[in-house]
Amino acid sequence: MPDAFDVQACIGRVRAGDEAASRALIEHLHPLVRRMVRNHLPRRESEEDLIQEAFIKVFQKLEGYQSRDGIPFEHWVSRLTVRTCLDALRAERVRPEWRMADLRESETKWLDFLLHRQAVEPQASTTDAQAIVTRLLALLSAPDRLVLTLLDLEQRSTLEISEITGWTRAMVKMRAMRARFKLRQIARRVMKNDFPNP
Amino acid sequence: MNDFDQRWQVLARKAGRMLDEKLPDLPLGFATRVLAHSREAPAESWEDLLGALSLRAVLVTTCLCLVSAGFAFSQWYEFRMERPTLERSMTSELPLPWP
Repeated sequence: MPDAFDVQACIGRVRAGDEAASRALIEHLHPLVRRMVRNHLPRRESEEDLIQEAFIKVFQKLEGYQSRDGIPFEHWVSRLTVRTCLDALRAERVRPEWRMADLRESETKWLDFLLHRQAVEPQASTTDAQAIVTRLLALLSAPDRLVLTLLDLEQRSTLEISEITGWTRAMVKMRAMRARFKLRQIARRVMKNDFPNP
Repeated sequence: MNDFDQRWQVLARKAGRMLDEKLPDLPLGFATRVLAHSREAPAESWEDLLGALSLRAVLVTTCLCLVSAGFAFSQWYEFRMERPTLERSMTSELPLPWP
């Protein structure tokens, strides 16, 4: 069994200017940062670029980091990474436009299921489910998209989201509720535009 | 939770399984790039932060000015409409009988 990585000792060495420790810290944090960036990546942004940006911020702000009892360093990194992604999502001013005709048949089935036009859950692949979710979330504002990804896709608790984003738990719940409401309106609008009532 | 929300949860849970897929290893030279960039680029200075905040402050102040100007105008307009006309009609329009 490999030895547990001592984050606090590593941070101390990074602050002292130890380059090997900096590399070890990047290697240790890389899966966490990559997963977060991948889940909250704007459409036109490169995953590698955003990961790099998040890491640069981690190293630039490391001097100001103060460890607190019971709160792991990874929480601080998660918060910085999410904030970096949120800034990138906000910078993406143009929301994509798509029509039903752009969807694959399996994606359309999921949309039908969402809007109660199909009673049973489609037997489509996980990739298709992911594709339609990505399309729908891309039409929401950056904070709405963030909260639904953290809460519904990553299945995080409201407490965790509150720690990562800095929003209160009540705010997280309220934002998620509003975001789902907007999502329903978007889905209905897409359906209505393509299949207008006679 | 309404019907749409329940169905959304089903879809989101299925799509969320994709998030657990295996992640690629650290790209070659990535750590070197990060360390070089973090040394080159200075951290966000107080001046930048103040600059960003002051822009927001200007916007908020402008909005408040517009709202208060609108409120002041509406008060002035209301006051003008409610000005009593009785006095004028008594003194200037109705002829008073000569004693």
